[in-house]
Amino acid sequence: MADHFYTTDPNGELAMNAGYWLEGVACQVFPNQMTNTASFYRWFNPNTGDHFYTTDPGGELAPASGYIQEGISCYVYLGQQQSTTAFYRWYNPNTSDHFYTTDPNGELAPSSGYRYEGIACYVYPQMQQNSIPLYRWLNTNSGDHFYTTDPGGEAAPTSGYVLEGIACYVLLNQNAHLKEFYRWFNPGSGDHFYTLDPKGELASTSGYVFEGVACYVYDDPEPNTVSLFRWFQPNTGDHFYTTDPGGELAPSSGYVLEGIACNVFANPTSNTVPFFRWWNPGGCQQKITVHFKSLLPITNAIRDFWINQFSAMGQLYMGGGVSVRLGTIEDLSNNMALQPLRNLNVGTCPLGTATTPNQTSLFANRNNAGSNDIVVFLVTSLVNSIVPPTNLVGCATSPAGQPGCAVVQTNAAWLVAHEVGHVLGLTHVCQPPGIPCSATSSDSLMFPSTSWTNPPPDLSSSEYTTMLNSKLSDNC
Amino acid sequence: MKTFQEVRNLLSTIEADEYTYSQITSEDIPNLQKLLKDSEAWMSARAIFALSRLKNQEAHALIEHATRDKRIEVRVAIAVASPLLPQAVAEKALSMLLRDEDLGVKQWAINSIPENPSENLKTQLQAISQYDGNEYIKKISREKLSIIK
Repeated sequence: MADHFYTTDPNGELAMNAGYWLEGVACQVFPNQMTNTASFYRWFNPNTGDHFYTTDPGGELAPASGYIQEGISCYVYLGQQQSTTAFYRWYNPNTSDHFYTTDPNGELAPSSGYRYEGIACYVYPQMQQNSIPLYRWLNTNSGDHFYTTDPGGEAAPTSGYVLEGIACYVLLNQNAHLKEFYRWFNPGSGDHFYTLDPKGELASTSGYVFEGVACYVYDDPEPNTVSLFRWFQPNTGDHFYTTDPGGELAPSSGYVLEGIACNVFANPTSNTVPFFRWWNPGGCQQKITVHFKSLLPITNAIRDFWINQFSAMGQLYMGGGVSVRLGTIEDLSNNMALQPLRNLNVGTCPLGTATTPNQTSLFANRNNAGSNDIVVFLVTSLVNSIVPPTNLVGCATSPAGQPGCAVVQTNAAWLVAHEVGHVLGLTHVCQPPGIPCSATSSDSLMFPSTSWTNPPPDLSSSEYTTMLNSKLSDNC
Repeated sequence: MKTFQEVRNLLSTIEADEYTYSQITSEDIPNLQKLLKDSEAWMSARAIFALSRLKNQEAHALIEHATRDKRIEVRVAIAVASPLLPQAVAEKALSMLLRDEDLGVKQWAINSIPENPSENLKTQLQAISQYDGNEYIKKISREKLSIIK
């Protein structure tokens, strides 16, 4: 079987157990229909001149208090979301004015006769993708605060209002256009098929089984979205999805363009999550499990580093039938006891189990890792303090029974593949130091330098055999 | 004379050893200076270890200047490499790095203080052992003080 599999799960659901390797992020999609958003209704009391805003479609007490609904002013969040802040509501019974602010202290409200009424909703304090400013106007005669997304202020400028500035940023729309992107699976061909059609197009009559909603996407183009193209390989039965209008390698690999599957974001935007792409070329013989633990805070850059390293390793290893399963990803940066190990002393880093006290302490951290699982630790520096000292980029020396390695962040795409290769029993080519390398040594993954030539690097059949025979690998 | 890329490739070994460094000479200092600005911090740190092996004042000046590098990896490398530097250069670098705000840099600077340090370094170490805000740093400072002469 050959199959491309897409999921919002960073761990790939069960993909890694089934011989898939991570190819990267296909695009950005929505994990849900943003059900936590709500309309922010505007009400107006012609007797007091007060504008009142609420997410309650019934308007709370407004209808019974002489207010008239003026429609939806914008869209907001009902609960706290990433990058949002509370939009606090205050009320001044003397001027009958409702006042809204992101300032937890209410700006001047407490000292101006306002009383706190609670959190109206959640909004963005800063501009985000798909957000627009909510402007605040003040009527200096009536004391009414008026909020609108209209940069011109609607009728405010001609009604005695003065612009006070941007109160916050709100949602332009409720993403009402988001649609379910359904996933189907064909147990016969192993193909995963994704479609907007609730009936699955021809899937249900072609041996596919419905698996549920993969994510939420746009049917039609929206601002800043790109098309997700669908390709099909008639020989293998694989469906392939990409935002590349050229189809990446699909056209030269026998795939036929089927059209635009949906519209998505190419880059992360507010509320989107990565839609990861996995590839299974078939042929898994043995599998290994690799966990990633970072002593540094896991930033987007570190997550990208790991995804790239894991993906490169998966592709290379699978060429010899070794499937790499992603175990867990753990951020150990808050563990104060481990901070002195961020610049890890690995000594001369001999192959085997002769570890330094630093390594012994570090490799003991095997949360969620089975005894045969390999743990890759990311640290700031790897140093050998024995004179003459040096630094290292990776080191695969670990205590007996605690297989793993330590690496630093690098652009060298196959560093983790190289170090895990050591863990699985591989040794350097053209070693010991000083022995001349052959002209093609630098093509090998086990070349003792990150300056590989003719990438991706090579693994010989005997090296694959060593990996397949490692006691750390299991049958697929 | 090696090109910049040749020097970079030479120092790209995953586990650099003396054979690696033996191929670097004072002629390579301009390229090592360029490597100190490399986008990869470990590569700049590797340049520090290469420079520290050169008995050359220009190399030492570059190391001294790099004590102000923003990247922890580079400052840690200077601390770890200091035993290879002439005493005066090492003392000056360590004195600077003992004032570093990063735990790792300070940790490795303390670790690299020689058994016969200058009075200045010894005084700094004593102050750290008493007043540093980090208990781990105070602990290793006290341990270091107990073994220096």
